[in-house]
Amino acid sequence: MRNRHRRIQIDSAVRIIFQAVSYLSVIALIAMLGFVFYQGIRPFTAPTADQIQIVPEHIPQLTVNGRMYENRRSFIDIPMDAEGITIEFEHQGEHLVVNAGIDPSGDTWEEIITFPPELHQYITSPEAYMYTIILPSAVAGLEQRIHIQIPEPRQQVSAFLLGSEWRPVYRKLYGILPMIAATLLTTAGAVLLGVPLALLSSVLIAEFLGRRSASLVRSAVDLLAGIPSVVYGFFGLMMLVPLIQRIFGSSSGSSLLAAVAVLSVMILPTVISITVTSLKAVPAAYREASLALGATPLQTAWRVVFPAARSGITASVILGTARAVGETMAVMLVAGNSPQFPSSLTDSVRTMTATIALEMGYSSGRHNELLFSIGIILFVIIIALNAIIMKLKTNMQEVS
Amino acid sequence: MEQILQMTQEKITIRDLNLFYGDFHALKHINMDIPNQEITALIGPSGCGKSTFIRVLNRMNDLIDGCSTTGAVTLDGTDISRIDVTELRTRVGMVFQNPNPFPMSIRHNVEYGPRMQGIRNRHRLSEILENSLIKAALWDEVKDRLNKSALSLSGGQQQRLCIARAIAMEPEVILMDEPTSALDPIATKKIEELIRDLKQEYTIVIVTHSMSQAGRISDRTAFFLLGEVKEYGRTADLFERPEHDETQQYIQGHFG
Repeated sequence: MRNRHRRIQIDSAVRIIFQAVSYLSVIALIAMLGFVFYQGIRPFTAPTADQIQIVPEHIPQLTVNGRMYENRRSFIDIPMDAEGITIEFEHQGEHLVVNAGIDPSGDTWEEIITFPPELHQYITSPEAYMYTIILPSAVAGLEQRIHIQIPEPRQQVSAFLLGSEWRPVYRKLYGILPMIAATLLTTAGAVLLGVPLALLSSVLIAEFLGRRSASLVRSAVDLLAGIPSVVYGFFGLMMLVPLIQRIFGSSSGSSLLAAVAVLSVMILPTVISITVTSLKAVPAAYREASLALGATPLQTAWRVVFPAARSGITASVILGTARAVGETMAVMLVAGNSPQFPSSLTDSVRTMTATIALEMGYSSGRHNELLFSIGIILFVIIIALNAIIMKLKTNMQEVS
Repeated sequence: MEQILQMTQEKITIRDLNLFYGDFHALKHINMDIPNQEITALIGPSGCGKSTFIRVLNRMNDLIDGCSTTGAVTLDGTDISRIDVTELRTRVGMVFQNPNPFPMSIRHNVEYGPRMQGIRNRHRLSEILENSLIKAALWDEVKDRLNKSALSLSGGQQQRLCIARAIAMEPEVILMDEPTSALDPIATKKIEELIRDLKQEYTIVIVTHSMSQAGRISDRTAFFLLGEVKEYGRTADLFERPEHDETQQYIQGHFG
């Protein structure tokens, strides 16, 4: 009896652990999506800040609109509805006063702040939404500087999705259309090139090769699936890119074409293994019936087995497409990564995933948040592809 | 027995046929003459080789690795190993144990064989479709839904569709491997009637587990045991006056 009681206890403990573990993936998914969505939606809901922000450099003591700051290293906030900005500080023994007017209704960021003409020679604008006043110094590198940061307004969704310029640092232009185009083009190219190859070799493996050669090809395909994507990229960079450069005589071989070539090989294992599985799942009775009707093995494979495995094959193609959309490293290494619309196959392109990987390290503020927005777009694409697979699965169940 | 066989024209002759699956001797020294436009039933306990034998006749065993045959099988006097296998199978059609229509429309199932032979003419294909379905006694039931999936038909209808599909090739011989074993009694009865009608035009070889079925429909019966033909003759003779004790015992249901 005691033994039995103990077994029940162990049973329920194991069940709790199993439940916890199985929900872990759900929790991880929700956490990840929550994070990405929280970051990615923010640029479309609010401006970057409510105030104009000032950062002094090499100015030990300054007074802004009557308030005195000492050794200030972080932002000094000025409300947008302030009448103006008055900054007073010591420069080479002189007392300097910088005056600027604020016009919060200005259409562009250049119209929001106005400086008196005598200041113009000291003012630079290294980035959009940013003024830097540089005062000369006897020692290079120790110039006194005042940075004035104007808040960026709410990002327009249309400007984000349809904008054709991605100049996130200097001009604060965040149009990802070239990247969407690059992702769609590389994916479409890889699917157009890789899927026919994959389907042909799947039919060969499943229908025509003998047991030994079929298992040889299959293990090769499985190994191909196991190669880290950076190795694909490296191979492409060292072999394909110089080849393309030589053949097309372009200045750099890093191109749309190289990305398509590498990606099409990368999706082969995904498409082949699922297609072979679904071809093998076609009942032998169909093959027998077809052969018994005097059809050749090729006709049988093409007219009976292939259509019967249609939904599995479609699912494999979609999974391959998803793989191509999500692939980052290999593409990044060979595509050249210029955020432009490609006008030919040998043009450098940059995919959405590559953009995230390349810029996440140094981006900040709005730029950083918009990288998450790109993540949302990718997520939407993948969800759409998965929805198609789900639909196919229910269709398949209805048929059988 | 020899005399009876010589009276009719032989469609298929089998001389000293042996078949091996690797080392396993599955069919042993089989000699048979299958007459034209008659129904020949093959009976015998499970594993006796009757299904293997029927698959020799359209060379379906070619698909199996490690399967080899010796001896001669001729169709109208020509050795079947000399006939191109796809041509042989257009002349020798086959219906399987489980109804196995393709997952396509009824129309495409029937038109499949002719299409694979390169017939593209729509008019000709429709003609074949209608004729085959009429011969298979299925036309009236499906003529309004030719474009529906074949899988929507009942089991018995599916099997008749498979027969129609075989007929569409205009074969000379139709092999049937236990065509009614997966069907209910009513569907079975329909198929049996159909088989008797088809005798007018085709030579039929049918494997069956049902003694009564063999008795009802066949002209000749061969009794297989352990890879050998124990007895072969007119059905009536074989059932009423079996020459071997084993035949007698099997027919009476003592083993099976």
